Amino acid sequence: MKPWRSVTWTTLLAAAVLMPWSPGTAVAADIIKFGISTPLSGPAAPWGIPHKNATELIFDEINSQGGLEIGGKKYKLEVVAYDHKYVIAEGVATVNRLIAKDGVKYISVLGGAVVKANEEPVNENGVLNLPLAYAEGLVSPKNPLTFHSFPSPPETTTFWKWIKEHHPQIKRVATISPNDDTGWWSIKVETTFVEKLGYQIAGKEFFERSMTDFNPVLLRILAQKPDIISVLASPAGSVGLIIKQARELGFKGRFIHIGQVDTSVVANIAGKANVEGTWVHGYVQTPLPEKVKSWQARYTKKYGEWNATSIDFTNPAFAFVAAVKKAQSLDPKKIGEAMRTVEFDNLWGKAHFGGKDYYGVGNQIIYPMPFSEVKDGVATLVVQLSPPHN
Amino acid sequence: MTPDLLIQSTIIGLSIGSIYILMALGLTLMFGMMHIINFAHGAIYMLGAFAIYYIFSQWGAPYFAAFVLAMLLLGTFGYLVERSIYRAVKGGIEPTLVALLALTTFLQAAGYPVFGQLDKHVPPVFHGTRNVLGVMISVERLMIIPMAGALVVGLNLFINKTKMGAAMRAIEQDKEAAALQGVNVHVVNGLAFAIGFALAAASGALMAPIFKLDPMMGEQPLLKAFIIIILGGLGSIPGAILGGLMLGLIDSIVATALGAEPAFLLSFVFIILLLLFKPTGLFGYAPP
Amino acid sequence: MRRLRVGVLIVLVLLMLLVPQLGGDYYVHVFALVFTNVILAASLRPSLTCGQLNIGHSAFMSVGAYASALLAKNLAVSFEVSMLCGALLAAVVGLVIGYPSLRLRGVYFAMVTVAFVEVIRLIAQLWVPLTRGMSGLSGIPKPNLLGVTLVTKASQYYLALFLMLLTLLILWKLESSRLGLIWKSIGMADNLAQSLGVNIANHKLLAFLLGCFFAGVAGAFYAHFIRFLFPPEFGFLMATNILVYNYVGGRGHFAGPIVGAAFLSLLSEPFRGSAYETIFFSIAMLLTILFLPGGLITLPGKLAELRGWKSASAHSPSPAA
Repeated sequence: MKPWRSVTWTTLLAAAVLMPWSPGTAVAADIIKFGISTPLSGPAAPWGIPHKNATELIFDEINSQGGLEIGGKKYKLEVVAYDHKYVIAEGVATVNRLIAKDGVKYISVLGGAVVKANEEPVNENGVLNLPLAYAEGLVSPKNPLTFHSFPSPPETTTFWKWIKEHHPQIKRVATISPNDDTGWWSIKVETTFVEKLGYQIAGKEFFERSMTDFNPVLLRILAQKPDIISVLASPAGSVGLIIKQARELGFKGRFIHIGQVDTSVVANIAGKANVEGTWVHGYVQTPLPEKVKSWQARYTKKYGEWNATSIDFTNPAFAFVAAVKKAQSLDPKKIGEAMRTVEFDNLWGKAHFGGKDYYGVGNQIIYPMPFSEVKDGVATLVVQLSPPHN
Repeated sequence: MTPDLLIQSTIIGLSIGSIYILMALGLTLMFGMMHIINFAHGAIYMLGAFAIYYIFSQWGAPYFAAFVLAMLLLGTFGYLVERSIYRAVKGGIEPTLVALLALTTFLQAAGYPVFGQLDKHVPPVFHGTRNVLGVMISVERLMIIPMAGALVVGLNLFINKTKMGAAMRAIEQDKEAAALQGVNVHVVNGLAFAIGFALAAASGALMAPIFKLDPMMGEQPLLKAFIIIILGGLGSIPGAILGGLMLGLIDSIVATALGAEPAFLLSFVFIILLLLFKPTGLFGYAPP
Repeated sequence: MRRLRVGVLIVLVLLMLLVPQLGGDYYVHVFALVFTNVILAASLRPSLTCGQLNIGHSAFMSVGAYASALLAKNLAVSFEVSMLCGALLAAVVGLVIGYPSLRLRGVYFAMVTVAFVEVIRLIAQLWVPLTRGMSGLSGIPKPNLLGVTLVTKASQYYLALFLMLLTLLILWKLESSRLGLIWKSIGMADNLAQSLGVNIANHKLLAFLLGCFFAGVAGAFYAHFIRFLFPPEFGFLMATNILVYNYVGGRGHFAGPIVGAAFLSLLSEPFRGSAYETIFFSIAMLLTILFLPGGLITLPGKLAELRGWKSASAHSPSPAA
């Protein structure tokens, strides 16, 4: 009965592989472990890799100066990162692994659906989470120890006020964004905001993330004669294709993306001339503030390939370090309390957590957000704005 | 939906349809020859596009030379896959399917470290747009139609006019009888893999300047190509042409009228209904 | 031999009972998902035995998961009821789309099942008021079994273990009964089976629906364990994985899908944290298919053969001497 023997074999093999890492791999006393669950492979990896890299770089720099001092004792910072591939079951498993096996008490998770799926484990275990995700209901009194570390649509929509002031001829707004929670929530927030400002919504479309041929969707939108098309929450590759195909169909207006998008990737796909005049949040090529320039140099030196997304993905690490310093404690609850009041520097200026008026809890990162316009193919900083709520 | 919009979406539909036909050709050919579904078709499409990216846009070779080279390279790869995988599993339909799935997973996963994390692009080969019945269509999209046409004609000539083609047809009809007549089944199978892979590479190479490049770019085209060959009848080349055009029109007209998701759902419901009432597809022959 | 087999099984079950004591919450989580995958893989086996190449199993898991989650969330139904309803609904959906397509054979059937997966995924995605679409369905209660809520991971683990053992027992009994023989004969040559007076269509349908039912069971457990449902989770990737478990484990024996599911589900654990996780996974898959055509269950036999051949060649000169 050979097959039965193979069952035993497999079990023994599994046991042999798994047992050496049984619990009790206790956290060494002078190391602070910070967990990251992020897409390191697959289509979302262009976000996940800078997420991990940016955190590691900041921690390295602190460690090379001797570490983080808490109550007179120096601690080294260490990143434990797992790949969730943007798959829910993997996202839940990796966060579970961080908490239950690695004994991590502070984590940063990337991706709307994955963060939502982990809401309860995070709350039940009293873990501090510094996610990067657009998801409705994430910043909420229900999630006291979750501090959202990236500007979301409720913050970045403030740019529309600037547009209304400086470009009053724009009247009709169309939107096209991914067909998921991220896209839906972003568009809901944006359209509500612009309608209040007196804009007309000329078409709202959602696409499957795998879509490459946007012609039918664009025909539908262009029939409504919009002045500007918002591509909020769409990844750079899709934005490039949307712009390219819309220009081919004869669209002459502007594009806007108040999420965050790398316009050089967009321009490569869409063609330089087609991207001209596009407004984006969170991506600047010139003039770069000194701090960002230095970050770019350090990042490129360590990792070879520059990734502009890393600029804003430094927030979880900066916020964590600042709050631990202030709390002078390793207790997630105490760090969370400190997080609500601490003020710290990120690469764009002074940052803090706030937004109580809008979310009912002050757990959203607030800082002067950069907005730029593509001029001669280069993303040029036009203005830095603070969110409508503080 | 206004008449104007209907005309526009019909023309867009035809241009999408010609892209679909191109994707389905290699898949249907390999099914016709050896009754296997090439699950690696999408991954080879992706490799074809990346071959263009390196040979044409990075190393500066002329586009058509790069195009031919991409087909040759991946055709050779197809031949090697036949030798190393198809023969190793002795041509069983199910193990071949699983092995091709594993190959696909490997190529896609290895694509990220090898090709880089950010989306790549290939500069346009044909520039400008033309006005066709009031719709602006880019020249590069229009060029798909003659290219797809040339490949279909070339494939037909090969299958119908050459000795190798005759051997392929013989095997398609009856493997044992062909072998008894002295047809070397191994060589012909290798050739079918080579042609199937080369056609997948050709469509990837044609799409590279039009769309963007990433290791997962073959997934959606593969699903579309599946639908098309089911629709047209597995193994039928005229079926793939008709199926491709129909799906292109559905995707365009329904998506323009109702949105992209209903169009996608509708094409699947359409397939299921068709299969229930005519399981062999439009042009298919009786299943084995 | 029979005693050995029973002994091995008892030791295995004891080991599995001890996992929460030995492994801690993380391995409890991992193994609970392994058990779910085992249910999925084993429930596909009857259908495969009948010669139906089903690449759409995850669709029925999705139906069971959503049905059970929605019943428990919106109507506060207890787990045993919601799970049964979910599994039955999965079987009903299987009947509706499975019945007409059963006359399709071979690759045609396979292609229709690929379409199933996409249709079910798109329905879950588009039916927003019910499923919350791409926002994902959250707030699914923990399994409430016979009035007791299973709060800890360990208790949920035991639930998964129980469901797996029960499913395997039922499927094993069926396979070793007359029914199993009929399935096998249909798979080998259905003309022959028909000429012997077997109602092929009914038996194929039964095998298919049985699979749908247990896929629904697995889905229901998954829903109350992960507690967040997202339509793309049950897509093409999971569907092909379930099929691959069967082939990598081996099609020749009941233990095949069990070994395949356990091996492939655990395979990625040692590679976690590495960006090359999926690459290793696919290489292992390819090597198994190429060098162990009968699946992993033939590995001990092959090794024994190898050893026997070696010792035979070492001994062979001795009689001459």
